[in-house]
Amino acid sequence: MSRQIPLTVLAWEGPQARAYLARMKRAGIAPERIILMIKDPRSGPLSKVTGRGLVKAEKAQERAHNFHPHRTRAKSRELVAAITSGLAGQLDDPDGLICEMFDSFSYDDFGAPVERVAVSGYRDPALREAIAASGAGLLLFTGGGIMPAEILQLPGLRVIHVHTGFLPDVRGADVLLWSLLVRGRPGVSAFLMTPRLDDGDLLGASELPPLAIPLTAAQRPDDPTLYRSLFSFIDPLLRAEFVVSQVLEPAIDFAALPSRPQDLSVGVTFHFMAPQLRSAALAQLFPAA
Amino acid sequence: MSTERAEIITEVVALQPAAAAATEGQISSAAVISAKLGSGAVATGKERDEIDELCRQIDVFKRLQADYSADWKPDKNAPPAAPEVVAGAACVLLMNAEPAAAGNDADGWSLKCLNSALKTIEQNEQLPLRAELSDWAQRSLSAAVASSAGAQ
Repeated sequence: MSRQIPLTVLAWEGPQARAYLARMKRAGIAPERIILMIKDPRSGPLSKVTGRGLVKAEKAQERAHNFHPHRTRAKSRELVAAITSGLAGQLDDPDGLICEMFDSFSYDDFGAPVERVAVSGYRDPALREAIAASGAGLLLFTGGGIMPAEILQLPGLRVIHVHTGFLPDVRGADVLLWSLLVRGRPGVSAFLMTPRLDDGDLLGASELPPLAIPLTAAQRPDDPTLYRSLFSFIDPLLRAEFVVSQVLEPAIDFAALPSRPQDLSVGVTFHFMAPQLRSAALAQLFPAA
Repeated sequence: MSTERAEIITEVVALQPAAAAATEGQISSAAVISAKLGSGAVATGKERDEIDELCRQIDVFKRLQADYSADWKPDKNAPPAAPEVVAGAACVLLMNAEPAAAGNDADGWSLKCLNSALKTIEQNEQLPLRAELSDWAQRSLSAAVASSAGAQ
């Protein structure tokens, strides 16, 4: 029997949303609802796809957004095995969670009603209307774009974002790799989103044990594949583990989650890595076995 | 044989255009970069803010404009900075990346500067002294990565 919590998961199809739901299910937690964003293949605000068209769009989105994890699992099994072995120091049964995320996954299996909303993106007024109409007080953001201020400023709404950098020190993009290069270990933080970048009040922040996933030359694919595997498996699972174990499971009063302001006078805002630097960071994460 | 850092800086400084009179309320990239080249020091504290903006323009918007409004808001119709000024930006970023190469970059800010320098050099094929700047960047990268690995 799951414990239902007053949390709406705003699901942008892909590994991140799936990791959150799989980890919540393992913890015996069910959100009160899931709003599943479905990329509307039609253009224009007045012609929303519905009915069978929506089902078709959802299936197309499932294939497109999970192409890389499915392909990596099929073509690079030894890489996935090395990743699950490496992650075992950070969380329980990563292999089981990955199976939950990608084998026969359905958004309808998480003990919560699923509202499917056809949208062009986060700026689509239909999304704002759906969130407002749901009455959600606490929303879990699962990535896929920039959340506009019009949604963040809905009355009574607080939006949780999980970031794979230790805040306030590591802000910006590619932060898991930056954390490995600069601090020698991953970090994870959960905070309440604002319209600005990574500056909201912290619900929690931790630096994790060092992470290394040794690969033999035979197991090692090219850097683009390693980079995609980071966002297919490692990054989503670290975020999910943190927010579930450190924020959601211990929470007693979800209307008053304890939070603290960040010290915005410290920290560095990093940007996406140049290929040479990314290669160096990947070499640290995936050293030669 | 690689050109020494000091020689590259001297050559880049010599390339910089004479500072034009600044338009009120405008930021001149050439003026900002010339001042940073002239100081020769690694930025600290609030001095980092203008370099952070240069990084943001290069990393997020993929270009440097000749001028900016006071809030550094990008304008896709604005003229780009001259190649010599862009080479100056790469040089400033590499000067500020030196603590990372020396293993003295606790918060990663110097590595961030190196990242933006690498992108500047990559994005601008017509950059003056491109080969020399690229060589400097690669040497800094190798040293920074060795320092990072050694520290862990």
